[in-house]
Amino acid sequence: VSDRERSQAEDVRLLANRDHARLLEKYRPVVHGLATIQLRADLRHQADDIAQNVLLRLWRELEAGKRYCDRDGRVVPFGAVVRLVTSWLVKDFLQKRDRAEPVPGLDDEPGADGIDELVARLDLAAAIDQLPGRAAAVCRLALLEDVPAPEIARRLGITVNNVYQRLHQGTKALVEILEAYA
Amino acid sequence: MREVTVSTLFDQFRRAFEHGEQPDAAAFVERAGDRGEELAELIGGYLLDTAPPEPSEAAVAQLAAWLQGEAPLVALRRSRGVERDAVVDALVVGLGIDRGERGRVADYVHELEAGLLDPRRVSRRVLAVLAETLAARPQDLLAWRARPTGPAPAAAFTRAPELADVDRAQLAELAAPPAAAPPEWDEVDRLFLAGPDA
Repeated sequence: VSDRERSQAEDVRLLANRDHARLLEKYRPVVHGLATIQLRADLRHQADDIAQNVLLRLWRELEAGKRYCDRDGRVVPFGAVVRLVTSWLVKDFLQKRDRAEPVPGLDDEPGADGIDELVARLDLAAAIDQLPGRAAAVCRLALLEDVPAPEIARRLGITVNNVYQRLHQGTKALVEILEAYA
Repeated sequence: MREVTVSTLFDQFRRAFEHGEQPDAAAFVERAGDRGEELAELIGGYLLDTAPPEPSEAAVAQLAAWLQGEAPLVALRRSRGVERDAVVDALVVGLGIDRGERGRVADYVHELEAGLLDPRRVSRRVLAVLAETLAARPQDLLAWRARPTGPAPAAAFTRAPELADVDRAQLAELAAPPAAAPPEWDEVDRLFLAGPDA
């Protein structure tokens, strides 16, 4: 059993036990790292705020009994949900900042920024199909099939670092596609 | 910057992340100079792919408290069965502070616990003593700070009563990043206000 499989099994167990704080704490370094890497050092405080916003949003949803499924009712791995919501909120922050619009705070009503609507019509498989060539293959294997990067690299005949770069670029593109997805 | 440097920085980041150290991704990207974007893509892709390490019990307790609207540091301290006075005494002794300044140290500890003081303003020396006293890691203490200012919270998510009536403008001012240390600050002020290197 790989680390990845163990991790996903643990996510399922934590969700079933409603141990939401442990599940979210597990992903907090990922959320914080993704927000930081996208906003960089000059927006470090905003990255902290976004990371905390992601965790609070997901916690409220989990506590309310939400399950993350695509339009066909298939359960989306929690890790993929966390990463997509983080990317959405970073993008939402940057857009609002560029338009000089107020950025929703932690205590705003859920749905104020439209992210809930996006998650509700989450259809990763269809969105991934719209990505170009290798990016689609990498994102499909990583996000939908939960295949670890070294194995993706082996299957596609590319380096592990190349997998990371395509995954990073592909996820940014996925956020755009999912936003436009009716 | 040579390829080996980007690879080295990425490997350093990855190793630190896998050890649960929560490395500062933005700082790594800065160190990569004009190849920062390349490193950012590697780190970003890695974070999108990797199975995160299991969290520490202290970190879970802090997040649970924060999510419930409580003060994370207070929850951590209580979970360890440590009184605030013991924390203050540990700081006074551990940092070699004059006993006559104990009251001021206690005030700063209160501000820190209440979310009125951004832990990133606090010296690493203080965090090291706090971490040891609370059987936690220094990075666990840095994980949480006051929630961003904004509209009044919904009733279900208000923070602990002693925090709910804190004036938000005051909170924002006290949680602001450190400016240059004013000359009137003494050793105790610098330890709690002047940033991690104090």
